[in-house]
Amino acid sequence: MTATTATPPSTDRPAPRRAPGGGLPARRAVIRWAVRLFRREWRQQVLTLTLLTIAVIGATFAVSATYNMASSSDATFGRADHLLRLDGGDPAVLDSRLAAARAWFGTIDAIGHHYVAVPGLFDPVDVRAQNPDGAYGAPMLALRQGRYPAGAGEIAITDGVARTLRTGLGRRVSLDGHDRLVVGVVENPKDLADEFALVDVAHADPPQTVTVLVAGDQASLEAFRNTIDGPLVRESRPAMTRTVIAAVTLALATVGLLLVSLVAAAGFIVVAQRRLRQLGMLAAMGATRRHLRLVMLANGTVVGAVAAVLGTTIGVAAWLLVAERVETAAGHRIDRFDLPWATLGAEMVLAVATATAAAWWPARAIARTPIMRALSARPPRPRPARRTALAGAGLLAAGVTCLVLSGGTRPLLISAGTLSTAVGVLCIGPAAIRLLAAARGRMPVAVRLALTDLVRYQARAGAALAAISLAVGISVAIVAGSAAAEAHTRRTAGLGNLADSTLLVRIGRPNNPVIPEHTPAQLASLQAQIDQIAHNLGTPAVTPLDMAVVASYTDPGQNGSSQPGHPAVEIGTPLADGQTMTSYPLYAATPELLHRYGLDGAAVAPDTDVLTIHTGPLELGNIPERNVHPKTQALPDTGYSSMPNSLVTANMMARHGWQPARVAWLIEADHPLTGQELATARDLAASAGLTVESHREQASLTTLRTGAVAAGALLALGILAMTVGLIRGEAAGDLRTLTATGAPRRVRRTLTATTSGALALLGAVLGLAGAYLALVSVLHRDLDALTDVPVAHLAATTVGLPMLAAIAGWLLAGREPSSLSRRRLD
Amino acid sequence: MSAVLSLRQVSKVYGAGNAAVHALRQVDLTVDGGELVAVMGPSGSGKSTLLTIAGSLEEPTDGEVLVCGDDVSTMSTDAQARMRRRAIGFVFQDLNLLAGLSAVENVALPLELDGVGARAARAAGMRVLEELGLAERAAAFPDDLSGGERQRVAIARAVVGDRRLLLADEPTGALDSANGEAVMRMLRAACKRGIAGVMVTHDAQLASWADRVVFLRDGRIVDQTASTGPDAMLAGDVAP
Amino acid sequence: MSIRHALLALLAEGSKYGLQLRQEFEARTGEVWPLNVGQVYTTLQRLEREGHVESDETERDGAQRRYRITVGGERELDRWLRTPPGATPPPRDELVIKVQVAVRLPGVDVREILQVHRRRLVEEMQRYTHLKAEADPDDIALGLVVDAELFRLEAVVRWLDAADARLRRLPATPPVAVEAAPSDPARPSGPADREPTESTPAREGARR
Repeated sequence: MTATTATPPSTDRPAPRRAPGGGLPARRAVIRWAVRLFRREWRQQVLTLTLLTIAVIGATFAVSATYNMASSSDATFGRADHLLRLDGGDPAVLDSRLAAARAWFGTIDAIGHHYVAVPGLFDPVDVRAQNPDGAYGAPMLALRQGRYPAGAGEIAITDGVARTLRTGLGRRVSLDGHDRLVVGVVENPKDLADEFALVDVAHADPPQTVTVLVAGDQASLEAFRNTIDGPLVRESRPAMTRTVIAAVTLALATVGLLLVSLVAAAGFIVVAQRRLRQLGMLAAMGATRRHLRLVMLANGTVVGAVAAVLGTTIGVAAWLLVAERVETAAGHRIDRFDLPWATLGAEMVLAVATATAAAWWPARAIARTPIMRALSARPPRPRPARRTALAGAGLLAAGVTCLVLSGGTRPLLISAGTLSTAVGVLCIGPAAIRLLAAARGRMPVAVRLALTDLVRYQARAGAALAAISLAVGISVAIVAGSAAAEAHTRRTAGLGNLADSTLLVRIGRPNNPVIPEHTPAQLASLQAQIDQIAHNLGTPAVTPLDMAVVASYTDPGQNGSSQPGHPAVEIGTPLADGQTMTSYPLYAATPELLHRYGLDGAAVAPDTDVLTIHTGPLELGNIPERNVHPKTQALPDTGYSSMPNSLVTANMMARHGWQPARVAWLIEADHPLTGQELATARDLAASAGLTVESHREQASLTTLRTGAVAAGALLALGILAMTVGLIRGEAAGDLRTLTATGAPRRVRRTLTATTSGALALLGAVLGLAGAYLALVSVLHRDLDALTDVPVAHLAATTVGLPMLAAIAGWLLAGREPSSLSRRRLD
Repeated sequence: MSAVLSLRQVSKVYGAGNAAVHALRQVDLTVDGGELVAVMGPSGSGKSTLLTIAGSLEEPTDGEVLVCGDDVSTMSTDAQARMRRRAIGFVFQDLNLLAGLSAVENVALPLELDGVGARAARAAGMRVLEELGLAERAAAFPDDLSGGERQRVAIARAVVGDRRLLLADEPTGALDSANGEAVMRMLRAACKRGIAGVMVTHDAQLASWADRVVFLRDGRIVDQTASTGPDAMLAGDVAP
Repeated sequence: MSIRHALLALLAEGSKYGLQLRQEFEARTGEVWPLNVGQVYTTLQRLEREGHVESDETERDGAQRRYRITVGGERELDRWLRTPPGATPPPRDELVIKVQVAVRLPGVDVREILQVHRRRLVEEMQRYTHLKAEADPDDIALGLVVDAELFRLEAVVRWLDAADARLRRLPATPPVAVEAAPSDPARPSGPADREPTESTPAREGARR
C-alpha cells in the first residue's frame, strides 16, 4: 500500500550543505520579491517618491548652478597652478627672470601687460600680448568675432573696450601712438568683466608687467623663488575651487535630503504595515529576520534609486534649459555640459543611501514583529506615546542647543540642530494626537470615531503628521526667517539705499578695498564729467566724497590686470570668531560732507576719531595696525544705506598719515530723478568709466513668503489627502456599518473632515512651534528681528490649512463607500 | 513508524492573571510520516494555536514540540526559521501566496530562502507543480489564479523540497465544495508521499479526509477516531 | 432508493439481460447501499405486469431474459424523477431522542455522549470520504451517492455541534463523577482518558 513508500524521518538524513542563513540565493530571492512589489505597488509610495525626487532635483540643480556660477580661478590662472608677476621696468632683468622661470619650470606662458591711458577715460586699457595657443593661458582667451591679431598693425579688443573706445571690428583705433586695425573681438570666457585689448606677441610694445603662468607644486614654486634675488610677486591657485563649492552645496543639500528622509521613514512604516501579512507569510515560509529586514531595506533602496535617477535627470535637464540665461549673471561663459559629474554621482549615491537608511527603522520594527501578529496583519503595538514624546523632548533640547551654539554661522551645528529639532518635533506627534483625541469626550459620535481612528492607526497618522509638520515647518521657517531678515535689513537700511533725488557716482566699483591712484589730470577730467552729469539735472548740490587711504603702502592691484592703488581704511564690527568683521565704508569727514549732515567743524569734538551711526565695538581695518578702536561720535542717521554713514575725522587721518583719495561724488537734485535723467546720467558716467548708484526699490521678500506658504500648504495638503484616504480606507468597514445603521451622508463627511482637519491642525501647530523654536535658537542674540511677525502668512498656515483640509475632506467624502466584496489580494 | 511531529504536554496561556486565556492545556499529539491528522473543534477550542505552536510560529508556555526529533520550542529564532524552510510547510485559509511572484516562483521561494540557487529551486518547484497537475499555471501570478488554484499552489509550496510536515489551517475555508475537494485530494496525495499532515478545521466533511480525527475542546484533546492511516491499512485491507 | 425506478433507469440506457441488470445495479449503488439484490427479479416481474417493461423470451428465467423499457415505463420514470421524495423522517432522529433523554437523566455527561456520537459519525464520514478519495474523481455515480451520505452525516454532526453549544448555556449540572468508559476498542488510550469530564461545562458557563 501507499504507506510503504514513506521515507524515513529526516533526523537520519545528513543536513544539506547550504549556508545557514540561506546565503546569496536567499538574499537574491528576497530582493527580487521586494523589487516586484515596488513595481506592483509603487503608487502606494508615490508621495515618498515625489518628496525624495523633489529633494534630489533641488540638490542636482543647486550643485550644477553653484558649480558653474562660481567664478572660476581659471579666469586668472588658465590651466596653470601658479602665476608670477614680473615687473617690466628693466627689460634686462625681465628677460633674465623669464629665462630663469623657463629653465626651472620647463613650459611657461608669459602674458605681457601694457597699460595705455586714454584721454578722458578713467581706467587705462590693458593691452595684452598673449599667445592664443599658450600652454596655460588658452582658457583665458576666446575669439568672439574676426580673428586674432597677427601683424604690427592689428589688434583685437573686448566688447567693453570697443564701447569705451567707440570703435569696432574693421575700424581703426589709436592707442598709445599706434594706429591699429581692429581685426577681432575677444573675451576672457572665464571672466566676462575682464576688459582688455590683445596684440600679437611678436609686435607688442615692451610690457610694463608680465604675468607668467607656470605649473607645478607649491614646493617647486618656493624653491624657484629662493633662486631669485629680490622680491617675486607670486600667486597660487586658491584651494577653494568650484568643485569644493559644489561639494559644499551638496553638503547643504544633504540636510534637505535628510529632512525628506524623515518623511520617507514615516512613509516606509506605512508601507511595511500594509505588507505585514505578506511579510508574516514569508517568515512562516522560513525567512529569517535578516531576510525580512532586507525586504524593507531593498524597497527603500529601490525608492531611493528611482528618486535619484529621476531627480538627477530632471535637475540636470532643468539646468541645461536655464544655463545660457544665467551667463550674464555669472559673468563668465558657461559650458552647460561642464557639470561636476562626480559630485552629482555622489549625490545620487547619497539619495539612495538616505532612502535606505530611512527604511532601516521600519525594517527593524517589522522584523521584530511576532509572526502571528504579522500573519493576522496586526501591527506591533506602538511604543507608548509618552516615551516617544520624552525622546522627542530630549532631541528638541539637543537641537536647540546645537542651534544656539551655532550662532547662525556654523553649518555643521546648524545642520545637526535642524535635524535634531525636526526629529524631536516628529517624535512629539503621537503624543499630540493622543492629547487631541483625549478631548473627544463630549463630541458628536462621528468626530469621536474619527479621533479614535487617528489613535488606532497611530503609525500611519504619525507618519502623515510628521510629513505635514515638516512641510509646514519649512514654509514657516522661510516666512518667519525672511521676515526677520527683512526687518534686519530695514533696520540697518532704513529707507533704502538712496533718496530718489540722489545719485552716488563712483569711480570704479563699489566696495573695492583698494583705491587706485589717479593723476590730477585724470581727476580733473572726471570732475568735468561729473559737472556735466550735474548740469543735466538742473542745479544739484554736488559733494565730493573721499576715503582715507594708507598712502605708505601700494597694492600692485588685483588679478594682475587692474592698476595699483592704496588700501582704503574701513570700519567694522568684529564677528564672533574674532578673525573677520562686518565692514562698512569709511569716508573722510570733509567740511562739505559734514555740512551735508548739518554739522560744522565745532560740532565735532577734537578727540573724535570717527563719526558713525553704528554702535557697539568698532574697529578700523584694512590698515597696517591692529586693534585700532576709534573714539566715536554719533552721526545723524540719514536712513539710507548707501549714504556715508561713518566719517573719519581729519585729525585721525593726520595722526595716522592717511591721505584722502577721491572715490565718489554725491549729487543731490531738488526733485525726484526721472528715468530719462537717470539714463542720461548713466550714459555720461559709463563713457567716463564711472558707476552710478541711484534709488533702488527695496526688493521685498513678500513674494518669497507667499510662495513658501503656498508650496508648504500644497505639500501638506497632498500628504494630508493621502493619509486621510488611507485611514478612511482602513476604516471603510466602520463607514459601511455606519451607513448600514442609517447614518446619513453627513456623518461620513464629518468623519473625513474631522480626520483631515485634526491632522492639519496638529501638523500646523507642531510645524509652527518647531520652526519658531529653531529660529529663536539661531537668532537668540537678535530676537527683535522676530517681533515683526508676518501675521497674514502665519494665519494662513495655522488657520487656513486646517480649514481648507476640513472643507476638502467634507466635500470629497460624499461618495458612497466602495462595496465590501471588492477585496484585493494584498 | 517514527513520529514526524510530537507535542508533549504542550500548554499555551495568553495574557496573565485574571485575563489569562488557556488556549492549550497539556496537549499530547503524535503524527507519523504519511499520516494526515485532522484537528477538529469549535472556534476558540485552541486548534489554530496548536497548529502555530507545532509550526514554531509561536512558543508554547509549557511542554515540548518535537519536529523530526528536534525540540523547536527551545531553538533560536534563526534555527526555527531554518526548520520552517527545510521541514515545515504551511497552508493558511487564504492569502497564502506572495503577490508579485508567479506560481512557480512562490513554490520555489522556500528553497531559495534555504540557499538553493534560483535555477535549481525553480526546477524543483516546477517538478512539484507537475506532480500536482498545476504545470500549466506555473507562470501565472496570484492575481490571475482562481481561489482553488491558489490553495493548490500553496500546498505545492508547502511540500516542495524535503518537507516532512505540512500544517494546514482551514485550507478550503474560502473555497466552494468542488474546489475544496480538489484541494483536499491534493493534500491527501501529498501525505501519501510520506509527509505528515496536520489540518485544523471545524468542518466535519473536511476532517473526514484525514486518516485520524482528533477532537479538541477548550484546549484539550478529548477524543479521536480510530486511525485509518497507513498503519490501519497495513493491518489488513478491511472491507467496509 | 426505489429499485423499480433504478431498474427503469438502467433500461432507459438500452435493453439488458436480467443478470446484467442485477450486476449493474450492484455496481452502481451496492458499495454505498447494499440492498437485497434478490428483489431485482421480483421487481422486474412486477414492472412487466404493470406494462412498464417488456421481454421477448418469456420461456427463460429472469436472469437470462432480455428486458427493454416501454413507452409507459419511460413516462413512469419521468414522472418519478420530478416527484418530491417522501417526507419520511430519517432514522437518525433516534439520536435526538437519546440526547433529550440524556439531558434529563441525572449523572450523565451529555457532552460526553454527544462526543461519542460525533466520533462515530465522523468515523463513518471518513469511510465514505476515503472511498471517494481512492476512487477516480470522474466516477460521478459514486461521487453523487457518497456526497449525499456525507452531507446527511455532516448535518447530524452539525446538529451535535449546535446541541453542544446549546448545552454550554445550560446551568451547571451537579458534578457527578462519571467513569470515562472507553467502550470502543478503537479509541486509543491517551489524553482523552485523563480528561476531567466533570467540570468543563460549569467552567465554560462561568466564563461567559
